[in-house]
Amino acid sequence: MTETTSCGRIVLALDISPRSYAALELAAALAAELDAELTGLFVEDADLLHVGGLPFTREIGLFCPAPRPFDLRQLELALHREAEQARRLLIQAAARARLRWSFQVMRGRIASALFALAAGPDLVVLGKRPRVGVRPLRDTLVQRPARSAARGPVVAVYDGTPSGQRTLQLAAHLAHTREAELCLLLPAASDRAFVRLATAAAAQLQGGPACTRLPGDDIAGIAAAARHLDAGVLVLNGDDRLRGGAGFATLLNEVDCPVLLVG
Amino acid sequence: MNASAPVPLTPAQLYRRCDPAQFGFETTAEIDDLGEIIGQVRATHAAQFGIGMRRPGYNLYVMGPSGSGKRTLIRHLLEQRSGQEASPHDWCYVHNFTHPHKPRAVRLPAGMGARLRDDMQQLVEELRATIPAVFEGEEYRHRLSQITDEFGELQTRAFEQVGEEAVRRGIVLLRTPNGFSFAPARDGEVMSPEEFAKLPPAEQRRIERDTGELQEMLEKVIHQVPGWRRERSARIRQLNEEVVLFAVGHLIDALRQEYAEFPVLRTYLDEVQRNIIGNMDDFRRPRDEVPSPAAVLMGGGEGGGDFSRFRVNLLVDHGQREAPPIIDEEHPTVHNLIGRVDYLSQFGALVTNFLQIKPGALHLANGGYLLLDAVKLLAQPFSWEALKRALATRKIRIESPGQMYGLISTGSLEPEPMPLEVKVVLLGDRLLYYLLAEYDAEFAELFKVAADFEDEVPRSAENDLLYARLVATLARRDKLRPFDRGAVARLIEQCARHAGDAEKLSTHVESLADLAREADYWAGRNGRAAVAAEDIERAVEARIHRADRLRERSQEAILRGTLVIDSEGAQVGQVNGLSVFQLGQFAFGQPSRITATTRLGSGNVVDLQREVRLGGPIHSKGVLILSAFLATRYAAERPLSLAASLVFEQTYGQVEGDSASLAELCALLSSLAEVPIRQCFAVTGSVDQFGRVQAIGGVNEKIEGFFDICNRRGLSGEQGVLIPAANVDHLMLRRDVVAAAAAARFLVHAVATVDQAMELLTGGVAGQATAGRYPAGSINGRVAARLQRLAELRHAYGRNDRDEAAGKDGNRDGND
Repeated sequence: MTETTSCGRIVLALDISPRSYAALELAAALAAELDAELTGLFVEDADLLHVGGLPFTREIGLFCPAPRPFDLRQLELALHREAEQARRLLIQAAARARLRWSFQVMRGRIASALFALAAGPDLVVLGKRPRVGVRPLRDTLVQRPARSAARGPVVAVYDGTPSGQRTLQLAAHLAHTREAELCLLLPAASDRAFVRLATAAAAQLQGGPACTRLPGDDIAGIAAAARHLDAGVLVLNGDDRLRGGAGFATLLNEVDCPVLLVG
Repeated sequence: MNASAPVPLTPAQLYRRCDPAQFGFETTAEIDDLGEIIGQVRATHAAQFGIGMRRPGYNLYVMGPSGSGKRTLIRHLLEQRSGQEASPHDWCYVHNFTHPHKPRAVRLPAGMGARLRDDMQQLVEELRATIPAVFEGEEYRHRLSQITDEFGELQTRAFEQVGEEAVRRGIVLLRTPNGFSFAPARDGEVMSPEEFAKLPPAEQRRIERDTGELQEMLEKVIHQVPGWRRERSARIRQLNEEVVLFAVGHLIDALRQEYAEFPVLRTYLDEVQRNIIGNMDDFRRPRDEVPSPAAVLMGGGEGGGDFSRFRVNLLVDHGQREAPPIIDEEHPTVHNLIGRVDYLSQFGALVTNFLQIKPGALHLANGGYLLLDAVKLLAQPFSWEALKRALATRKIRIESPGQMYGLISTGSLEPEPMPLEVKVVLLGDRLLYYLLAEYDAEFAELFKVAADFEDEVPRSAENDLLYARLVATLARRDKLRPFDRGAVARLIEQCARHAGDAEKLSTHVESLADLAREADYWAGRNGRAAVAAEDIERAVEARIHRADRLRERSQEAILRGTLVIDSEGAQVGQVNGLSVFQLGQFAFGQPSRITATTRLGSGNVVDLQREVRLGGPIHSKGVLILSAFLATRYAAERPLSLAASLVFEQTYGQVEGDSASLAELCALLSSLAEVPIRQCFAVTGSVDQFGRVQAIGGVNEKIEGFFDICNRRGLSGEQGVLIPAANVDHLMLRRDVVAAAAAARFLVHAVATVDQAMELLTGGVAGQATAGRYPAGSINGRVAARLQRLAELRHAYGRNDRDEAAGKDGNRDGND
């Protein structure tokens, strides 16, 4: 058993997708473990509102694919309904775990809104589904065998930095409480660096977790490794690379499981 | 005396003894069992013919009294016959996958039904293990993943083409709350309306056009999605079928090979295979899964799914049998006969399936023999009709009475009718046979052979020996003491008494067996190693004593004078008649006082019993014969100017039979001749129009009835009974009666004519007619003279009446 890290709030970006339910479960469990407040954030996507404001855009339904005009007011009402549902989900989860909670609705883009809300020690849980690109279309229309994401391993990125150590401790704690395997992704330019990181991690955890070498520390590589390992939770350092839109969008689009960003 | 005077019968005539000395054994332990039924040659031949005749309709009706050994003989003959025949087929019901409410009947050689049942049970067990294993195997997962990935990639590629095209045109695809949309983007983010407005008009038009084209592309792709899904599902289904076929095929092929010679099973196994493939998910469910209420309702209820449809209902199993079955159905209700479909109560609803089909006696006896008691069969509602229908159609159709008569039409099982090849043996009495033959047109068609059992056999030395062996057989069968030859002789005498004929022996084996068992009891009480004649005597006496309470009360009433019966003195117009009371298995005789009065009239003999409806038709016929006799003998050429009344005094119930007609005639003649009748006699016998005495029934009991009264009052040596001469051969009287007769203290006279009877009763002379005239002073002469006087009186009255009618009103004789 490793020591749990102290933190501020558990900030959860959520909507009403299945991925969001899994993330809410994770966030509520963490908040209960760490005696932290659970803060829910629902973002009214600026991109979507822009689409609604453009004069020529049409919406293509899944059941009736003939394009139909956008109605900005209807769009806003739909977003309000989603926000209300998300709020209710959060309240129910908080009530079950007897948590302090708060809920905010912000308009903008998810990355900027989330990091604007989360302060340094806060843990950020990403449970939103992507909205832009082919991925949402594919997730909606392509049938795949059901996977038990909740039972997958806890995958963490450890880079040897102080924030990386905090990430490692939290990931080990999660693996222990979820009775899941802990898999470490070690960004190392060489085998030697990989061995050094693996040794340091083993020393910290007083045991030898499964380690996978990452050639670099780019988000796309991490997302690919998490998918490959069929991760149940991805834990990584919420550093500046994610605060920019591209890295965050990659996490949203390429990772299926809840993502825990350690501040 | 005109009539030849009958002398009293000798003791030898009153009781025909069976001489123990004729037997060459001391006890029955020394003689062999009897392997045949005595004296039933005709019935045996008929039964053998009926059993051997393998044609429709040649079923048997075996008739004879209960306890005569019919069933034993038939079973013996059937066992002899069935020992030469092969065992019949097994019958099963299996699920009909095409019409589930019509289960299929399957015929298999003896022993194979159980094999099929076990094989199918084994098949299901193996499939429940094999099918999940195959689906969980790496090979299946790999192929499923291939299909999933193939279609995933196909669709993803299509979507990505749209997405790439959008990116190439600077447009992004977005998920909206209710679908998807395209919008212009800059640096990966959607352009705001304000930014878009700032674009050059040409660029705006291009974006607008490109967006429209992309929407069309996406629309086409989305249109293709259901098709892809269908195709993917079909591929997975095909894969699953291949996988199940791989698991099932070799198992079912093994069964196909095993049951290759049974076409119905080949079809069935094909259907089983199709059903397993079509319902593979049932086999993939875990065993500990709680069955759905629907599955339970349909009779499944096994963990993980309902597999009852693959089971086999082994209705008739002849696996352990080496000969055709002989079924003796003791309770032939319609369901016990033709089978039934049971229902189970599940969650308050009544449900059934082919496993709830239960066999009836016809199923169990199919290919063999079925014994039924005719009375029991006819007493059960619907059973007779159901049996006839089955025999006529040669099929067993399981139907409830409601279905049979169209009273209910709710959905239920209609099991496939089973071909029927059975020999039915009905056991019953003669009356029932003749009633059925008369009133049921189908009976003669379906029961073409009648085996008629004799009630009695001639009494001969050969048959005496056969009876001795029968006693030996019964003693060994029932573990009784051996019977010494005196006891055997006494039993044979008792059989003659049971037959009511000194020249016959009753074939009622059960009565003989009962007496043998009771005698064995008394032998035990007497500490004897072998049953002796005394034990038989004791058993007979004890049996009478147990049953004769009413006889005792009746005799007591006579002895106390409550019922007036004279046994001494003489009386004009009064005679002792004799009647028999049958109470269950016990019969006893009792004298009745018969009186007659005569007066002027028009030839009517009034039977008061008939007038008050206490006389039966045969009794009335006997009385009418008396009128005819009187008219023919004494008034052939003049009107019979007599009015007579006949009464059974102090009788309060029905009087039936003509055995008192001799006594009634004697009373009438006594009254007409005004000659008293000696009351020390009792009379029994019927008469014809010529005055000849005819045989009657129950002669032994009647004689004993009067003897008992006289004996208790004190035998005078004059008392006796007049019986018809034709009944002498039937005499097997009680020992005390015979002893009294031997000591000349009680007399039994056999009479052939009414004249003989009158001479004995009055001590006078009957008188023979010469040229139509009877001697004056003879009984007949006195009767004729009295009738002559009555005729003259009537004539005189008639003349006076005519004279009065000519001048004034006249009165008529009320008796005319």
